[in-house]
Amino acid sequence: MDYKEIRPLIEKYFEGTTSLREEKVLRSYFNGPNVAENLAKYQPIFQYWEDQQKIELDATFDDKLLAILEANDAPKAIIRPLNTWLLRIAAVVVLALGVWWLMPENTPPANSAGIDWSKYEPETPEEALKVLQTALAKTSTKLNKGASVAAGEVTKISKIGKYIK
Amino acid sequence: MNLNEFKNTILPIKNKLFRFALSINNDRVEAEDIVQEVFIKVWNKRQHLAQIDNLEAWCMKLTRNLTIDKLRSKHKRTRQLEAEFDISSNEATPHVKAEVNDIFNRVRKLINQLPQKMRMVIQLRDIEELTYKEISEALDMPINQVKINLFRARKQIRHKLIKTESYGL
Repeated sequence: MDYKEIRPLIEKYFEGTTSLREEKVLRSYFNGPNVAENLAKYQPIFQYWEDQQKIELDATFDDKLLAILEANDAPKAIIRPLNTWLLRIAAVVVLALGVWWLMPENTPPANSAGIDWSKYEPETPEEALKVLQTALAKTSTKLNKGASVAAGEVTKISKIGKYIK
Repeated sequence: MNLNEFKNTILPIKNKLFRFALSINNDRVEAEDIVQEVFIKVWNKRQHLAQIDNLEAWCMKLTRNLTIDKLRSKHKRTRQLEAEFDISSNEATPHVKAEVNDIFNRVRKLINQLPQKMRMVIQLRDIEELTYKEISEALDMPINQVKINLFRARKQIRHKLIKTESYGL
């Protein structure tokens, strides 16, 4: 392309009416060796476009991206959260078992020797009250012990639940 | 679409997207992250790509939106600072000879001084060689506006370049 053909094209270019093909022609002309002197002032613009087209991502981009896309597509392990209702039911069962296990046996063995319980019956109301108070105190102690063991077990289960969720 | 098809048909536009993001945020590392994000979105939508009329323009649009969003959230004023204080970008390629650097810096400065819309239109037309229709889709801009912005941008560059050349600046 010579000066006579480029001159009208450059005017079209600055009017914003050139086609992509015409712009390619201008780019090629202004990046070539034979630019007319009175058009040389426009050369920096087209050389700049050419230079900017050379900017690229670095060579590692593709591999990095493809690794991410592959990893995104890999089948994931399904972690099912433990149902909190199940945890609660389990806690209640453990609590009940703990209490049952720690409560002393009330039924005497079948083959125990005959005991004359009349000897141990309280004779006065004050004596009866004392016996009752002692019995209740003992029961209370045992119950408290059972409840604290069950509470300990429930704490353990809730700790496990945190890791499983 | 499998990974190989993606690599052969879609990945080739990566440098266009990169240059476009870079022209907006002037940050190479961030521009690379943005391009990566765009491709991840495209990959996740690969079952629906047939519905997209022009994939390149769509990717350009995603790139633009992501870049601008990140710029806004970081309150970056890099481009404004460049224009105000003549801080040249370090994005000159290794192919540029030392004596040309000065001219390129002048052109770069002129372009940086353009309003954002004009700058984006110039980038997509003169560097990425997109059609008016593609630019219109990428920038969410009516085609008439694309042409007007292109005309004004080129006129400004010509006027300022000739002026600085005349004054030997």
